[in-house]
Amino acid sequence: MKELLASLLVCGLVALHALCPPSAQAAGGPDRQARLLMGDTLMTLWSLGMTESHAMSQEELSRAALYFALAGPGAECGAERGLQPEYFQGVPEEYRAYIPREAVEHAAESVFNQKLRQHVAPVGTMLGHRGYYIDFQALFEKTDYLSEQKEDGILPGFAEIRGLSMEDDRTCVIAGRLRRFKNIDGQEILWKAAAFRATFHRTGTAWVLTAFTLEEEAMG
Amino acid sequence: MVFVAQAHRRGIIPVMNFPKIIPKMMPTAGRLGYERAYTGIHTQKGIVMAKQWHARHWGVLCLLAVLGLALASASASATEGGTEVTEQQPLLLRERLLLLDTVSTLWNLNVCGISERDGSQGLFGRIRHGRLDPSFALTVSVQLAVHFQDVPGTQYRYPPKRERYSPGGERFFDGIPEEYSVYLPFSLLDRLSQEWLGWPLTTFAPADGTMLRGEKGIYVNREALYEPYAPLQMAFLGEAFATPVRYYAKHGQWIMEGEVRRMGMRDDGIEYIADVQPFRVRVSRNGGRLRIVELLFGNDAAESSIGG
Repeated sequence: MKELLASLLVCGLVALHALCPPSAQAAGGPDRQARLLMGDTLMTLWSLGMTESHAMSQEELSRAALYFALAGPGAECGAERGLQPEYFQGVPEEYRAYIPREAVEHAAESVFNQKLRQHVAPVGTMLGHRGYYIDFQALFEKTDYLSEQKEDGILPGFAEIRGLSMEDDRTCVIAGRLRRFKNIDGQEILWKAAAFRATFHRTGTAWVLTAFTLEEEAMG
Repeated sequence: MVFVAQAHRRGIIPVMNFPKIIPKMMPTAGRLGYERAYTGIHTQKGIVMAKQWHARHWGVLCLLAVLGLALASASASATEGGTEVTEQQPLLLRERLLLLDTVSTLWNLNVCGISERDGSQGLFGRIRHGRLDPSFALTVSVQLAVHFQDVPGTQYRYPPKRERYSPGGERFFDGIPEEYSVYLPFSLLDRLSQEWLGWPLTTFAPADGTMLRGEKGIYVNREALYEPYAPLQMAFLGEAFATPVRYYAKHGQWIMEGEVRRMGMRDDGIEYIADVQPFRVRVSRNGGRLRIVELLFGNDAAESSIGG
């Protein structure tokens, strides 16, 4: 019986190997999904007004990582007052959303490649025992957070990856251009553009941004 | 768990329950790795339980493992990076990005739409009796494959090109007319169809510009392939993009509405949006992939939109 089961197991493994298509990860490079996420990350960094990777203070890192946790996939692990009121017992009414500390810490490491050792709640947020409570009105309107970028940051645009090279099995460098378009006199024209170069390192199944530069183009 | 920000990123307008301030203030956002790593926490309990169970019932476990492997081979992407994706789960960031990329690419391929209803002229994918028109799926897959031949560093297996084949590759073109310059294995086409449309290739009937020879692949005459579709604008690929306006669930499926844009260059050298069209795409989850069950552009999309 054991031999039969072992044989079946081997057959299953062989079948799995034969039927599964070769993945990009097997080849070492980022797959389509990873490339799209890379481009999206750079668009967000551009919207945040960041031009290059640098060591951030814990306050700066908290704020930037919180933003990514709010807007990125980490948000799917948070809570909203209207849907999960149990997260908001004793929390003032203006705080409408909650996001766990782990989400912010993970964003700090995966986006900025820096360790968040001390949480510092930005204006518009309240740091609870397990996470951040968000007052969106205060976070985005009463502070200058994103103030310069917030209008341009929602214009239609996209990231175009023009070049990709692998420095080694786990390190990928991409270069390309970010663009946003704005309606001027009835026609959408290129409003802002920036050239980017970014290095990502694969850890497990994820690609972590380790360095980037954004150089905004002068527009006529 | 539904959270406010996930519906607002990239300017998605909320349908319900979300503060109205967010779509105006949230720029495009996203990053890598978090989604899979974080949701992976939920699998730890399962791992512990499995270990306890394994200690008592290893034989049955082996049998289940074999069955599991067989199932996994049939739907290898039921999990993505360790994250279980369920039918009820909201569209994840990576799914939304993939969907936007798919929509803009299909638009670039001059796909007019996908629907159960009769569609317009041109490259239209009709769904009948629960199946996507196989010739449509094949045509789209062939065009995608030919496109990826010219994309450096593509994740897709590089299909042989007559002018580039490596030593030993001549066998692909023995006795094949000169105008057929590309050979595409069915395995690649099926993979493209599943990844981009969410539908498997069920038959391999030759489409315009292709020639079936043998059982493993298809030969392509690039010029003839594009001719009926007036033509495939290869130069435009990568120069169109889609942006979402809203997305919502309905009857167990996800609907995303937005706009596709194609860039152009004015005479004065300024880049501009030469064409913009509304789109509406409806998808269901099928084995971890998003299956397109409806795709509309232009007036069809506007008329079906809840915001229209």
